Formats: sequence, C-alpha cells, structure tokens
Amino acid sequence: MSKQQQNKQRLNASESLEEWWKAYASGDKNVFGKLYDFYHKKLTFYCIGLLKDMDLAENAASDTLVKLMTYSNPEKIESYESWLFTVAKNSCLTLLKRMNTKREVEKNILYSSPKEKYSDAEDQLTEENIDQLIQSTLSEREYLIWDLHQKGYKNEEIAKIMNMHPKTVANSKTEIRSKLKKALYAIT
Amino acid sequence: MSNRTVPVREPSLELLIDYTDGILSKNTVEKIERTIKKNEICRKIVEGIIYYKNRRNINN
Repeated sequence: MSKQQQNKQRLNASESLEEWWKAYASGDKNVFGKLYDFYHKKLTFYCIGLLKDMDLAENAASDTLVKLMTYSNPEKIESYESWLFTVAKNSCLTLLKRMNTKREVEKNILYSSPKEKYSDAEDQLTEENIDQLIQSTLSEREYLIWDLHQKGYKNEEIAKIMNMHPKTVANSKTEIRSKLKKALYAIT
Repeated sequence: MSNRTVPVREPSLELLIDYTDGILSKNTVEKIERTIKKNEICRKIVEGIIYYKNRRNINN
C-alpha cells in the first residue's frame, strides 16, 4: 500500500470515527456497535497494561463500554476517548482493590480461626479492625496507595498504576504513615 | 510490509501492534517512541500488547 493510500485510509477512519461519535451523542444508539468494535480491543490492551491479567482486562474493557452505553448524557462528554480511558482506568483500579480485599479475606480464612481471633480481650485489635481503622483514617486514594504498598509494590510501580509521579507516591506514603500513627495513638 | 513508513499523529492500535512486531521503519519507530513517552494511554496499550504476546507465546 502506498503512502498516499495509507494516509487516505487513516483520514477516512478518523472521519468516520468522528461521525460515529457525533451520531452517538445525538442519540443514535445504532452506532454503538461500531464504537464497541473499534474500542474494545484498544481498551482491552490498555487494561492488560494496567492489570497484567487478560481475563480481568477484558471484563474491565467491556464494563467501560457498558458504562458508555448506559451513560445518560453522552452529549455532555467533551472528549470521548479521554472519557473512555479514564473510566477504564478507574475500573481497573476498582478491580485491583477488589482483588486485594479478596486476597485479604482468603488469607484471614486460611490463617486464623474465629476462636483464636476473639478469645482474648487484648486481641480486639484484629486485622479487620486495623483495616477498618486504616480505611476510616485515609482517603480513598491514600488507601489505594497504602494497599498497593502493603502488597509489596514499589513506589515506581504504584506511580505507574495510579498515574502519579513516584515522588508524589513517596510524599503520600509519608503523610499516610503520619496519619496512621496519629490514629493508632488515639485508640491506644 | 516490512520497514513501512507511516506518519504518526495519534498511533492507531494496528500501528502500535506493528511497532511491537518491529516491522516499522526507524523513523516511524522514533516518532512512536516519542509519543509513548508523552502519552500514558499509548504506553499502557503497548505494555498490554507485549504482555499479551508473551502470554500467547508461553501458552503455545
């Protein structure tokens, strides 16, 4: 294929994409299939990049497009691609959070019996309580950072997942530590 | 289709796949790499494609 043909093809593709979005924004739900076909693969690869899990990534990509389909005011979206990828990223972060919670629950079931947990008054500060304390002390974003940190992620990795600068992650962690310290002092 | 030169604005998924296949010209590769550096979405898509290919190779 010649260079000119390639340029023409690319131009046509971007033109029809723009038309599809315009039609979708004006209420034509029939173009959703075309948008789905165009974006699903791209979103899936994006989510694989974030989650490093193909099944979860495919679910996150589908969820994102379902959210677009059920979004009541598509005409209010300024930049569709940015909207889609932001929703996809948030879906991935929610999935990561859920996976961590699931792992925690499984760990608790595996390594501790309820008898051991609540046998002593001194043991009232159980892992669950600590987690509740952490959740109530930290904001959602801080909790996510802390969760990833506890899971063994390095600052650079957390920064990549959360789309932050590694220094911001380090600063956030310092702030989180000081918040948790204060919260622990308050209850002991 | 080896060493094809493509003008890069917003790289399409197909172009990013070609990039990971290593079949693009040096010039295009440089342009894509500049875009990847600036654009987090492109970067993650490329990471995803590479991860997918590695997984597929392991499974085969």
